[in-house]
Amino acid sequence: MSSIASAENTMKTSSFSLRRTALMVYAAAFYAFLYVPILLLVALSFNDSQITGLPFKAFTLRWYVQVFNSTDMLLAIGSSVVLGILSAFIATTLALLLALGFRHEFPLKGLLMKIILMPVLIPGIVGGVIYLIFFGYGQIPFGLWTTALPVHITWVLPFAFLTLFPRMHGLDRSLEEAAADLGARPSTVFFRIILPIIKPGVVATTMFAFTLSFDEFIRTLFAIGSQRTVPVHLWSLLSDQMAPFLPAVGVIIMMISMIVSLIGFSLSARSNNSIGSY
Amino acid sequence: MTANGIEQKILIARRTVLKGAAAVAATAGFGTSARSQTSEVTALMVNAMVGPTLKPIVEEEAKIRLAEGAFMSGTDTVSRLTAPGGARYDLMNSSFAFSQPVVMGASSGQERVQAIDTSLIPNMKHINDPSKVAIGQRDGKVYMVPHSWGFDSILYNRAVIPDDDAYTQSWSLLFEDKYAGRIGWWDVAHQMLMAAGLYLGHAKPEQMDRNQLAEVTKFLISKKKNVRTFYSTFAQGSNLLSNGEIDVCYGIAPMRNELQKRGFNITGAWPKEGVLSLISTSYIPKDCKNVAGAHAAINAMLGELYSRAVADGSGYLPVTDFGLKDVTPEQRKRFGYGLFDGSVKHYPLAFPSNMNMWIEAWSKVKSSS
Repeated sequence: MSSIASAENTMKTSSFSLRRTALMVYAAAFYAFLYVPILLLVALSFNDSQITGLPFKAFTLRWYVQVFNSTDMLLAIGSSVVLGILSAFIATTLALLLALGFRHEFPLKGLLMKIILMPVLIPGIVGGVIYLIFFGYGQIPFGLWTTALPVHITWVLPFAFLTLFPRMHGLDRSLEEAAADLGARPSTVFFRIILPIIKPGVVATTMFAFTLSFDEFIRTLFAIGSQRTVPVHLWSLLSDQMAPFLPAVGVIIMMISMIVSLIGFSLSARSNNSIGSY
Repeated sequence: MTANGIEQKILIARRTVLKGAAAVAATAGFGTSARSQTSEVTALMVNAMVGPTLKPIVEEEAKIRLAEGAFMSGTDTVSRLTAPGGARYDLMNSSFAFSQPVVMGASSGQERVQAIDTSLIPNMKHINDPSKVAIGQRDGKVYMVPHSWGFDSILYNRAVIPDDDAYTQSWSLLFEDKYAGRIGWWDVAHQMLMAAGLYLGHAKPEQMDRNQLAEVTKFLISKKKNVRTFYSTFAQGSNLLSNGEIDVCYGIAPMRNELQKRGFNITGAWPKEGVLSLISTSYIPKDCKNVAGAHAAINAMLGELYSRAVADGSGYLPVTDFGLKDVTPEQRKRFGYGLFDGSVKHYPLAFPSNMNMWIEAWSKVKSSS
């Protein structure tokens, strides 16, 4: 009897061990597929080779020096960062106002929701052509602030709305009602009750909006004229020449995104802590 | 790395950080007052034409600041010219044969660009005879001015394919089985079908009818098995060629120039059917904001300094007599100056009589298994 139980235990143990090994292999493969290309990009950015690829010839910083010595590239990075910050801030603010409004019932609410989400459904190149025609008829001059900024805001807005709306929708209305019962004005209710609760979501949405704007290419290409964002500048470079410094640009862009994400996480964590302390 | 080396890197880093800050400030608009003192000309043209050695020449000679837009293609350029609200560039440039019907319209009065005041472009008198065919004129007015010659050919890795290989003497290199699995095709209908048409013996491939085009399509589908990959940007093609992923590909002059400058053993073939040639032309849209600056830029690009630098700086050939000054026989051969004296056979990259049919044909090639 005890030998049967012992055999069963052994089988259970080996089955558990097999599952654990399979899980570990799966996890290792998952992380490898996710992170090895990024690590490879970092390694290639230091590769002293004219070819974007392996083998690794020697360590060099020259691609970074080349990038940082290029005024055009720095200008493009600066444009992308400023454009990203502004469009993220404006789009998140608009999305927040829309999400607040959509908590109420009003005529044609469903239709308006669809209109807000439309930019997500329109293919990028079609969107670009639409903007080109629209700004053309409006005689609005191409530029970073005149055309690219509105394009980025309209592109980012639906995503910001989709992120914020569920959070606003799930907010416990009794908290607001309680505050109002105690005499708080609507603005006080918003700034003292609603905003602190949804602040982590707002921060995360702003960061998400920034990265969306920072990466946007095809719509911007049609609307920016002779100015450049990073993706547009890279496209220009890639159109007729080799770009061995490309991995270095990739790493710099990644660093900017990581810094933005870290700031976002840090702000979110701080907001969560302050809410927890109430 | 030595201590001196590290110090130097740190100094460079400090300098670059300062430059970065200045760039960001300029982005935010702080630099606009300084900029507005120079006359800005916004231009849409192939980036290589205003590369690092060429742009300063134009800016210096024309006393302008050249702000170039992101060039996509000739198709995009003429599309923007016809877009609602106008082109919104001061200067545009694209292939004459491809753009002329759109730029100048079908008849007098339908021109989409303004007449060029040739008195402001004294260097026009230096345009060489072969390039004069690309002066777009009507009723005594000039609308398009030649800028440079380009040509498309087959690029190949000399370490793998010897120059005396018979395949390098024709477009066969790009299609036939000998280098199967080592070939890259450019993912563009116009150029690829023109090359295949020439190779299959069509005297005027741009005028192929539906049946002839179907034959060319069938041929390309049968040869697709030899293709390792299609590339969409020239950087992608150059990278594939330089890292040995492919040894043969369709290529333009700037690609070959760039690869050779970077020390790769890559060269261009001179197929007996002819390289595919084009003459780029400059034109000034009607809504140009800086007409004087645009004229000055065109004049500078026809000037001696630009003409003598353009071949080495971009791979394109100059359209003026200046460009032939002090050119060595080696440079003459390398850059393809034989186009001018007939020693290099070429065929103009003319616009197809039915482009939609060509795009449809190329889609069939791409989607075939």
